Parts: sequence; C-alpha cells; structure tokens
Amino acid sequence: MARQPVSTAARHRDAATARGQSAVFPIRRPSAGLRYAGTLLVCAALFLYACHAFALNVGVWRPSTGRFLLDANGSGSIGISVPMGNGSTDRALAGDVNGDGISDLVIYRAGIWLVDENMDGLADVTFSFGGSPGDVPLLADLMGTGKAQPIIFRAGTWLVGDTSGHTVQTYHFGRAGDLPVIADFDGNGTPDLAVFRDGTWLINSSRDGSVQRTVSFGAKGDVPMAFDVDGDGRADFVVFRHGTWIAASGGTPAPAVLATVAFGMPGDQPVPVEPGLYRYRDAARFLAHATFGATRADIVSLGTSGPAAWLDRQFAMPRSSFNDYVYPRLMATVAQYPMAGGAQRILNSEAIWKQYFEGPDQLRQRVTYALSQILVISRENTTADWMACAASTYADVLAANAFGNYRDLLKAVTLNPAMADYLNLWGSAKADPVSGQMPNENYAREVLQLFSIGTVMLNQDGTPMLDRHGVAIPTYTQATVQSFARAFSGWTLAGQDFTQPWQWKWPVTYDRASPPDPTRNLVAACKAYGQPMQAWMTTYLSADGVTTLPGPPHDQAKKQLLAYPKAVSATLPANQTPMQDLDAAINNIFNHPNVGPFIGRQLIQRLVTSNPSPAYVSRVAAAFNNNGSGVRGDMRAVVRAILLDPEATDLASVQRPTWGRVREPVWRFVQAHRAFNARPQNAEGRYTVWDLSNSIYLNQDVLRAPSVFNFYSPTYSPTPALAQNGVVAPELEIETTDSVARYTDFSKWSILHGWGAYGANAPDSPWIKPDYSYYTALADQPVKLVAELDLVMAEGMLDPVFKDQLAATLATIPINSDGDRLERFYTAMWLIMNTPDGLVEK
Amino acid sequence: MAHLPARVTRRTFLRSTGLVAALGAMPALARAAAAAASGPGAATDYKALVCIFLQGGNDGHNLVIPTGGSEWSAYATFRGAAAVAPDQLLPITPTNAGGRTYAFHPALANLQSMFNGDRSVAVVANTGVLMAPTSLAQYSGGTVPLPPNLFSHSDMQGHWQSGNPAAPFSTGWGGRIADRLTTLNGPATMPMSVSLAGTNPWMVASLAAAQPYQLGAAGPMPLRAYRDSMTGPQSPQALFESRIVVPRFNVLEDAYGDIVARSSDIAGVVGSALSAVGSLRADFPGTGSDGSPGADNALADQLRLVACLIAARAQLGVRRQLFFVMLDGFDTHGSESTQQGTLLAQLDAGLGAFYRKTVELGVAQSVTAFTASEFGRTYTSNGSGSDHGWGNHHLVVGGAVRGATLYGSMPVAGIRSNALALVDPASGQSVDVGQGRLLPTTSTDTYLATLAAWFGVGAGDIAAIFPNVGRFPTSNLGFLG
Repeated sequence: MARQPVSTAARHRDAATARGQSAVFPIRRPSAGLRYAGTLLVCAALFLYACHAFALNVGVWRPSTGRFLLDANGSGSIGISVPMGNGSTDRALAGDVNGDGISDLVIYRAGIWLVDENMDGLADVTFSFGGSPGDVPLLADLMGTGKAQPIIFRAGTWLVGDTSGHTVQTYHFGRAGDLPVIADFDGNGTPDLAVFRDGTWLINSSRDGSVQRTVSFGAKGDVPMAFDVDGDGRADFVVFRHGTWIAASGGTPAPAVLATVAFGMPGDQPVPVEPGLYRYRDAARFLAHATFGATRADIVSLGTSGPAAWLDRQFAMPRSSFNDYVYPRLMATVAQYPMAGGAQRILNSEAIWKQYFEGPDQLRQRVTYALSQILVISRENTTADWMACAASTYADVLAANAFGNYRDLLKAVTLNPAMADYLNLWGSAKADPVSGQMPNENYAREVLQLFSIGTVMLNQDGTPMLDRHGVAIPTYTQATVQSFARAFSGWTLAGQDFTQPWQWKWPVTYDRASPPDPTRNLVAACKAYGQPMQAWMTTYLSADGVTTLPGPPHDQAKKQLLAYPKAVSATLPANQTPMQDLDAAINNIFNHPNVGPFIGRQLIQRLVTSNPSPAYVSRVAAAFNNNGSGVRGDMRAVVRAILLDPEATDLASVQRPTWGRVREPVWRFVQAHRAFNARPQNAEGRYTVWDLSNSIYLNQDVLRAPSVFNFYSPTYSPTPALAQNGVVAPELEIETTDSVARYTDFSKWSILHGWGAYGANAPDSPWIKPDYSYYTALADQPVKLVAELDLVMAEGMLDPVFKDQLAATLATIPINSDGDRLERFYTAMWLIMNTPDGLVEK
Repeated sequence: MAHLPARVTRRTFLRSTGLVAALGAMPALARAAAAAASGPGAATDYKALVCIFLQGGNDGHNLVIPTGGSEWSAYATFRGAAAVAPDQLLPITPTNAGGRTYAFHPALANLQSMFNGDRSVAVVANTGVLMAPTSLAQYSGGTVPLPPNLFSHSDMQGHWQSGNPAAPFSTGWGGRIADRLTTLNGPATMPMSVSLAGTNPWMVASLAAAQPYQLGAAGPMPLRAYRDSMTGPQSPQALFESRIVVPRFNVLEDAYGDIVARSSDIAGVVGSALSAVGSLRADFPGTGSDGSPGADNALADQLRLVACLIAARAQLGVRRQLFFVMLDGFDTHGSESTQQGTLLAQLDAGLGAFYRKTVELGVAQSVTAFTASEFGRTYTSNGSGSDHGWGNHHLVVGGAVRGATLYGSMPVAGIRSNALALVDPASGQSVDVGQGRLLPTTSTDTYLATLAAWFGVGAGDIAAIFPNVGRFPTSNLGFLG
C-alpha cells in the first residue's frame, strides 16, 4: 500500500477551521507583494495563516545552472538550492526511491538514474533503466511497495522497473507524444495512469488501457503534473507554464482553478516534491523543541515514526530521580571534596548533566528545565548550593510534576525546603505584637508575580486586559501579598523536635558538634531538605525569645485572597489549619484565569518560540484550562498543545520575522554534545562539569540564576524598536558584547575537546568526549558535511546561501591527513555555533 | 540618507539598513536607524557619571540612620532582626543636621570619612519613583496615579532606569542622554555608555551609535574565527564577518548579529586603550593582583575597570562617559544583618578606592558616582530581614558633590501609641504606607535630573529625558556644583 501522509494542506485546513479562520498575527509580513510573488494568489492579500490553506510543494530544476531550486517551507520562495545535473538533456525528478519516507532528488540522464538521498547534490545510488530516445522517466509507487519505482513511458508503453534495472511490470495507455502523469485521481489509495494531450487529460484508473475520465485543463506546451493541492485526498491537476503553476481541483467534475503561483522561470523543469522531502527537518525541529537536541539517528527514527507516538513513549517513561543519583554518592564524594558544600555542588551538577546529556526521558528533562526557569530557585550563593539534597530534591519536585498537574506542582514547590529557603517561607510566622515583626512577604509576592498569574489581568491569548481608560488591570495589591504571607505562615523544615517552642533555624538533627561531622550533617540535611516542610503546631515563642504567644505561628485569622470572576477560595475563614489555608490558597491561585496564558506563554517561549501569536497562546491556555476531560492544569495536555500546535510544527511560521528563539547557552552546550553522542570518559560515567555560570565559560548554568527573576525576563526586548513593536528575545538579555566574544572561545574549546571539570589542559580521562567520526568521514565532501551538520545542529534550517558559502570555505582547507578532515569539521562547527544562522533556532 | 556619521561603522550601517528593509512595517526602527546623530559639537572638558545599582532593594533605613534619642528608640524597637547594633554605628556630621544626629552603617568607614572629611559624599533622603507629588491621603485614596506595580523588583528597576514609569519600556534615561550628547565625543568609536554589569534598561538608547558597550571582568576580547590564520575572501574569518553583517529577515538573528558586530567594532579599541593604563588592581582591594586576578569584591572589580576606562579616556577619545555597575544581593528578606553588612562593606571599599583613584588621576571634579536601587524596604522586620518598600536614601560621591549635606527630607522616626511613626519633617505628615514603607518625598526624577544637568544636559532636554519632572517643585536638588 502506498503511504498516505497527512498532507500539510489538510493539517492547515483543520487548524484554520478550528480557529474559525480568524487567526491574526500582530505583525504583517512586510513587502508582501515581493515576498509572496511565488505564493498562491488567492491569499496574497491575507494574513499569513490564510496563505497556507493550500499547499503546493513547488520546486524546479534549472538546466541553465544545473540546480534543484525548491520551496523550503511552502512560502513560494526558493529555500533550498542543490547543485545536481547539467545541460538541457538531463531530466529532473523527485520521489521516495529508497522508501525512507522522504523524497529523493533524481537526475535521469539517457537511461542512467542518479539518486541523491539527502540533498547534498551527490548521487548516493546510481542505476540504469530505459534510455531509448524519446523515453520519458517518472517516479511513482505503482507496485504498492512503499518505494517509488523508476518508470519509463515509451510511446504508450509504461515500463515499471526497479533499482537493479529490471522491468517488473508493463502497462499500455496513451500514445507517442503524450505526456505521462501518475497520481491518485480517484482517491482510492492506488495511483492511476494518465496522459496529457494538448490540454486534455485522459485518465486510466484501472491501468487496463481504457479511458475512464476525460478532463480539459491546460493548453498545449504546458508541463502536466498531478498531486493533492486542496487536501481532499484526491490528486488535483497542475500545469507548469513558463514559470507559473496553475492548479485545478481534481475532485469536482469540471476542474476549477484552485491557485496560481509563480515559481521558477521559463525553461525550468517543474519538480513537485511529495512526499515529505522535509520530513527529517520536521523531525529535527520537533526534537529541538522537545529535547536537548538530537542525534542523526534520533531524527531519522522520529522522521519515520512521527511525534505523536514519540510523545506517548516519553510520557510513559519512568522518571529517574536526581536524589537517587546524589544521595548514594554523598558519603564517598564528601571524603574526596571535604570543603563545605563541595560534594553537594559537584553531585547536583553531575546528576543534572547526566540526565540532560543521556537520559532517555528527554521530554521530561526539557520541560523540567523550562519549569526551572519559571519557578526559579538558584544555587548561586544560597544554601541550595551546599545543603545536601536541597537542589536535587527541588529538581525532583519539578520533574515529578512536569507531566502531572500544575496545581500539585505549585503546592509541592510551596512546601519544598529549597524554595522555602530561597524565598524565606521557612520560618515565616504570623505577626508578633511584641517585636512588631510581620510574616515574610517574599514567597507570597513571587508565587503570584512569577509562578502563576503575573502582575496584570490577561486575556486567554496572553494579551493584557485593559480597563476603559486603556490601562492594564492589576491582578493583586500589596494587601493581597500580605494576606498570602499570612496564609503561608507557620511552616518549617521537617524532622524537628516539635515539642520545643518554635524552632526553625535548623532541624534539631543537625549536627552541632565542633568540628562538625560532615557525614552526620549530610544525613541530617537530606532528611530536612528531602521532604516537604511541616507546619509547626506547638508553642509559638516571640522573637524576644521570652514571651510565649497564643496559638501556633500560623496566622489563623480570616484572609482575603485573589478576587476574580468565579474565584475559588477568595476568602479563607478563620481558624483553619496551616495545611487547610495552604491548600485553599493554592486553589485560589491555581484557578485564576491568568495561569493558563501566563504559564502557557512562558512554556512556549522556553520550548518553541519567543514571540508566539496570541492565537497559539490561547490554544495552549485552553488546553491548560481543560485537557478535554474537564481537568484543569494537566501538564501533559499543555505540553502536547505546545509541541503539536501547527504554529510550532509548520514551516510557515518561519516566514514571520519574529519567529524562533535564540538558543540559550545551557541548551547549546548540551545540544553540541548530544548531537555527537558525547559520553564521559571516566569509568563511572560521571559528568564532572563544574559551575559554568561565569561569563568566561557558558554565562549560564542550571539552577544558577542570579535571582528568582531567572537569567532573563520573558519580556526582554533587545532594542527599543523591537520593544515598541512588542517583540521580545528573552535569551538576549544575557548576551552582551562581552558574552558573544567569550562564547567564541568557549565554543572552540568545547568543539575541540568536549568538556570536563579541569579546563582545557587536563588529561582526557574525566572528559565528556563527543564522537565526530561519522562527520569527519564526510570531510572530503564539504557539501554533504554541511548538509549533515545542518540537520543535527540547526534542524536543517540553515540559510542555503550560508550553506553554500560554508561548503566553499571548507573546500579551501586542503586535505592531506585525518587531521585536516578534523579541521574541516571544527571549522564548520565553529561557524555554525557562532553565527546568527546557527544560534537562532527556527 | 544625507550623511553617514563617522562613528557608524560599515557593519552598523549595513545592518541597520538591512533591518529596515526586513521590517518595513516597523516605522520606529526606520526612524532610529535613519536619524544620524545630531547635537552639540565635540566637548573640550571631561565628565563621567557612574550609576551604582544596588540590585534587590537596599535597606536604606540601615544606610543612613538617625540616632537621636526618640528616633533611636523607634529604630531599636521596630527594626528587630534588621537592626544594626548601636555600638558600631559610624556618626556623620551633615552641615544641615538641624539638631538631629545621624550615622552611617558600620560597614561604611570610607564613606564616613569622605562625608565628614573630604565632603565628597552627599545623602539624598527618601527618594523614590513617583508619577506626581503624592501625599499619604492621596496614596490611600488612589487620587494620584501611582507607578505601575509598586513593590515589584522588575518593574521598579525598570522605572528607576527608564525614568518614564507610565510608558511601556523603550529607552533608559541614560540612553536618552547618550542619544542627545553622543556628538560631544566627536568621532570616537567607543560609545558613551559602558556597562560593567551586562545589559540594563538604563543605557538603552534610540540611536545605533548611542547603544552601550558591555565589558566583562576579564576585559575585552577580539572576535576571531576558528582557523583565523587563514586569509582571503573564503577564509573562516571572512565568512564569519560576512554572516554577522548580512541583512537578515529574522529579527532575532539580526539582534544577535548586532551584538556581535558591536563587540567586534569596539573590542580592539578598548583593548589597546586599556593595555596602556594597566590593571589598577593594586589600588582596588578585593580585586586580586596582576598575577592572580579574581575578585572577592565584584563591585570593586567593576569600579576598577571604570577607573581604567576613565584613565584611558584620551586614548579612547571620549569626553563624556556613562558607566553602569551593579552589586546584587540586597533583597534581604532573610539574614539581613549579615548579608547587608557584607554588601555595604563591598560598596564602601569599592567606592573609597574609586574616589581616591579619581583624585589621583586629577578627575575627581569630573566624575560623579551615585547609588540607585529599585526600592527601599519595610522598617519593621519579618523576623529575619525586611520586605519590599518604596522611598529610600541614596549616596552621591565625587569631587563635584556639595557634600556633607542631606538633600531631600529625612523622615523622623518615632513611637506613637506603641506603634511606629515615620513623619516627614517638612510637612509634618506621615510617610508610612505600611510597615514603614516610605512614601517618597523626593521624586527620582528630581534626583536623577540633577545628575543629568551636571553631566551637561540642557534644560530643554531635561524635560524630554524625564517627562514627569515638570510635575515636581524642582528639577535640581543642587547637590552638584
């Protein structure tokens, strides 16, 4: 059976229908007339989404230059340029010859078929079939093998061959001078034979030589083609006429013109590309959103299985605990690094990098990392850096809830000791009339401002709600913050002696011996930081250390929380327990209508693109609000909605000038190693990567932000002009004239050596070494090397002009040894990693 | 385009025009790129402003402490865990003390000496972001517009640095100064604005030529491609440079390329200028030695590089400079007593060394440093620190400062009915919006416009740079001569 790929057109049409055809982007494509010279006239005046109601997989082969010129992304402009073939006698085709689901580029030259399987312009397979004067070559899966067979039309005889040059089937239909076409006109899943005769199409679906349908469309001199343009599952009629493509519906008795597109020029041979020339690219782009980067094998694998099945597997994968990595190694490591906190610091980083680099649960890791940049704690100058199990437990909390419910995540984060330490919730007590001290407001403020709802009321699409004066509406006041501070008061670390009066400085198990016994301290700290906080229900001692105050340190008075339409728990009654207040306060926050758009938009920014359209945000927020089964806050639904949204998956988005995200340093670092299966060279497989946040290294590290505001703000704009247009580039907040220069050096060392804890001159043993062998073996073919690096380092999205330039530059490096091959590889990697071409993920 | 300013390099020119082409629908951008810098001709004198941002919200209640009997009683009673021990306070003697007594935080020994002895330090009391003069009744009644998102770090940092809290962020007031005065630097490649602490809102300018250069602690670094020994049009270096300047459709690519282009243009100039003046590490305690660099005092290290750039002003060809340095960690909700002391000691050591260096370089009269911070903090404690406030006290340091003086109005602390009272002595009204969060009595517009005027911004431009300053009684506090 021939494969039936879901066509791009069908997906667009469904998406457009779901959106009520009203998707509008904030930024109109400039100079639409020029840019869209090659797209469908039916949409030239419309916004971008509407422009892709149809898909023409247009491409041409230009005899004068010997190049395939292909529309990379449905934009109607040339996106890919592949040098192959030459002269006026070559014939160009595209089809899936090797059955990998991806169209191959083929040049037919007097009976010789040159098959390029990966767009590098080089023949990967060559065979002979046909070759008589007047033979017309075609590619189609007439045999239902899942591969396109070479076919020769010879004066009414159709010879179906194989790549060994044997004829496996023969049909008869048409006559000399006819132009043959193969396509599934009747939509029954089996390709039909057709011939084009001076504007008349004769169709033989049963392949028995009889004319079963006659259609008039086109004119003498046109080049005929047929493929499904409107997504109805039936092939449509398409003719190429001196650089113009005219498509007419094949699903109606009389063909009606669907679209007219300018692409190519007179003298070009049209090369419609179907199926999925770009499937690897789609797979690579998806994996760039969902993981820390992919190997070639990952991309090929996803390219044949598809993202839905991949997501299911990822959601089902068991979680590996960071604490389970850290805890068993603590005792041994503390002996190796006796300085305070040394062992914890090393092990936390090892646990994180190991999972990021080689964990099979890449989606969970990627989402966890995204959450760590929204619900921020930092190891930078905080107890989380040196308290055993503090950072690793927090990372576990994020990972455990990454595929759970956002409400549970908020609650777990609120009760997590590392967070409580970072934002001072641990030990925050109700007002003390003796000392005048008040509950700590730090966590209460940031849980609202940063972890859930933000400072202003939002529409579901993430845009601010405005009052009648056009002014944004605050979500809360200082009084609200103080109420939440009271609602969250009275908590302390677990494992204490709760018979004592209000202790919160340290768990009582903490070793107070002098000098301290590091082993006992580790055990005590892991006990205190490894589990949620507990409420202190016994005596509350005033800060004066003398006066006993009535009740527990939790504020038991009534509290007014967030008010919003259909608010949940807007008021907390008096005399609730600390946990009752906390649960209700979390419910009050979680049910606020802002959470979906506020968190959804940031997750999109972290995973996919800095400037999602309001419609995209709205779709993700809708998934947050209701997973389809009436459940609010289902993170799996949110992650699915983000990664499978047409805006994320379709190449059409690239046509927006604000599309994409600057790859942040941590992601780049992991990607550049993952792409080449880098593994530590030490026996235990430990990732001895120390703090990389210094600007002379990576300028960023995991759980090491300078403050709860993360390394960068989701609203950061790099220039006033972009700011005035509401365009953001969060990751550029940490890119400076200093950091970009330092990265040229960091990336160089990383490419040359991999990375390790001891600097560039250390012995190789502790290093994380990439395996470049597949790529250095391609160094003699610069075009192919660049094409392959494009796929794993830039999702196949590099500008073709840059790729040509890069290949030309590599070719100037003479090859006399394997060392020279490495030099070509290093040079290509460095240029991809340091130019805007490679640094911006699109 | 009529005239290409000399300092707009080929890269900058190519890039900005390319961006305009790609983003034709963004008129503001076209304006910014098309507008050639115009303004006064090259200056003959030298001036520098150094913004010291105390990130997190410094607790000004502990920076300058009224120590009179009843004021100290209030302090000792209500500051709780945030209080400084009385026996360590460093008395200062303002010329306008008005019968009250004051002290600096115990960590500020250098600044105490500079305040009392050199008279090179002034205090600006209870300044904060306001939209208009605001009384406590107006605040409570909501009858005067307030800065959006009061008490939020990110918003208040933005307000301080934009000087325009009512509008969505676009440019900083430092950037707007550079837009107008960049021609004072003639054809210099070095931008007027240099940040030693990364990107910041303060320095964001409209003009390409007025955008800041960011310098890291390790100094400038040239941008050299891998295999930079190769030459010729197809060399890696040539390809790298061409990909940096090529006009781009994607604005994120363009913005990244713009940073690289600026880095590449300026690093060489800075590198050669700095090599002539040395590291100055010996003069800045806590910044390591030439043989073993490494800073215990990150602020001192930034101020060291500022001093280096000032010392290299002739080589750089600059007459006006804006510097941004930052000390982070002032968000002392917890452990305030130790954390704030550590940070203020770094501030004191850094500023002391910096001031002495400007004296030694003969530019003390030409260099003014000032503190800024998103907000002050609560007067009452939360048990281990203090929470977000509003009005705050700040320091101005330099030879041009009319020092040993308090500017603005220092609230009087007291106890009324067993509760804290913070009263503005000028009006007799309470300035406590809750838990000792100060309602500012001097607008940041006034404080900052005073600095801008000294730097050379004309009266007309002051109003343009600080759009709200006209709502306040004065635009100049007079602390700079």
